[in-house]
Amino acid sequence: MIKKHKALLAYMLVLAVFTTYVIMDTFVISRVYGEGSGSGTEAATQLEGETDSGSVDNGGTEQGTANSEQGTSDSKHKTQGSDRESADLGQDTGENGHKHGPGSGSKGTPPSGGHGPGSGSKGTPPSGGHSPKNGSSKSSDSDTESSSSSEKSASGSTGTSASTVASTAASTQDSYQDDNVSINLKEYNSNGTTVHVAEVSSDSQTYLKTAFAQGSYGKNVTATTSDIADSVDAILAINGDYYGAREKGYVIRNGELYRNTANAGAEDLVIYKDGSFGIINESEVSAEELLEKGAVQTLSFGPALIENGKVSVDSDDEVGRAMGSNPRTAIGIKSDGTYIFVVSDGRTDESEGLSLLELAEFMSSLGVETAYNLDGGGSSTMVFNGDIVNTPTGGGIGNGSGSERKVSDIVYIGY
Amino acid sequence: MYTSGIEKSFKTGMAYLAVSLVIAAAGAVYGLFGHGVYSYYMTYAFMIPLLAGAMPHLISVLSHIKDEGYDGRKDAAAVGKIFSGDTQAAVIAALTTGSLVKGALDIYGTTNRLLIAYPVIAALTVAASVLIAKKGTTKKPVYLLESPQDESGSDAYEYTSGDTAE
Repeated sequence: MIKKHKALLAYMLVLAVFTTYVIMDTFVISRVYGEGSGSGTEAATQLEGETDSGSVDNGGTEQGTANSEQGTSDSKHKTQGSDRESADLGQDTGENGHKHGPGSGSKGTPPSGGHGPGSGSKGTPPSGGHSPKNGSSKSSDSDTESSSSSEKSASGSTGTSASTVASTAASTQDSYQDDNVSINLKEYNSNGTTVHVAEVSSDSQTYLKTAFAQGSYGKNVTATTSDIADSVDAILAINGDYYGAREKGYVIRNGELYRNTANAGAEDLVIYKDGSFGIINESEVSAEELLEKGAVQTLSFGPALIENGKVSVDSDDEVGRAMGSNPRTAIGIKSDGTYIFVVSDGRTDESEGLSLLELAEFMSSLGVETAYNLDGGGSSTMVFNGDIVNTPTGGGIGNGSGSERKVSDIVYIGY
Repeated sequence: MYTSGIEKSFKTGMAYLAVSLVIAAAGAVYGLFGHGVYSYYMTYAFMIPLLAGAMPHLISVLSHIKDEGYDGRKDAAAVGKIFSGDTQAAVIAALTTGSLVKGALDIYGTTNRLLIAYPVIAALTVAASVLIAKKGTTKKPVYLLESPQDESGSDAYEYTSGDTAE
């Protein structure tokens, strides 16, 4: 019998081995294509495919040091602060390289108005989009320089910035406020689901950042949202778009282009240098064009929930072919420039979860003008001041175990 | 020993049917733990062995079950000159495995460019089978050999249970 069908058996064996490799390649084997936001000033644009594995740019050593020191002691924060300086400098340089810098005035200027910097006299949202309460988006060179200089200082190049921020920060379990950033956490119940909302007001869009797991861009390079948030000293963080789970879709982070392979038809959230949000279709614009237009971040998951103040999904819309209710993560911006971070619970006895339409309607009720759905399900996690706010279900099935799933990236507020 | 073509075709068809049911059950169980996330590739993976494996055999059996003396192996062998039972199994295995893996990745929300290999492997298997058949290098099934007819008109060859007749 075996002799008679040995060719078929050999074929099946090859098929099994190949399938095992495909699964390993998808879920296990890590490939680092380039460093993340901490890539430093000389970081070259790294496009997937140009380097296959182990590519490390000039920022690699410092970032690696930062990563290796994460979570070891309190002093790690100083080290990370120093490394973040490198990251921030890199970002500044990148932005200048693309002729766009922080649109705000000098950081450290106390905000005018009560609820956050920049409200009122600090600036107006740019036309055609929604921006945070930054200064003029058309900042002068001197503004940019001043801001960059301030950024360097704020990011701890002298080793004092982090402590300066800390000394001026007032934080409670559900709020944070310093000279530049104001964050308020609220908890809602919508459709039988607990929804965690963070309202963020700031005087500059530069505090809205993204970070890669392990500081590196790559496939199967993952860490929990809380670990990534800790590595960058995020004040508030949510999981991102989990770009590493897909092989297509633009990846622009902190002004650097990492992947320019379009995912035909995919809707992306683009965060521009002035802090405004935009929704684009990858079939209609290239990643390079987005960079030229001043894109600082792209998030490629979707779909867009709200555009121009109108809910843009219906009951038939779902992520892939996900039906029913699930934990969700979304980000939005209000007309006054306030950023809204939303994470809903789900898959637990306490919270059923939300459909995309329910999520969109909920965010619309908050006054959000543009909202975008990020990776949800077990990935949905919100971290505030180092604590997990929601009930992640990444490690269990409907058990509300609170265990986090490892993800590729986060969106965060931090210095 | 004589093993009728119908009987063998029936057994093969039932085997594919069993495989289809197992895959359908596995897809259903996977769906239970998918939090409502599903993939057509997972849901309908069972259709591949059902349509490409079970149906041809079972239809053949059903359509000739009343034909006394019908030897299904000859019909099967006409196709079998190009596509042996092993080729059929190999193609079905490649496509079904690919569909299941694609479904699992879909449900997880990820992709892998290597998935294209499964239909390519299946196509290459068919192509190779055709090429080999055209070159005449395939081993001709014994029941296709010219056989002397005895007076009653029946083949003089005595079939054995080892004959392939799918």
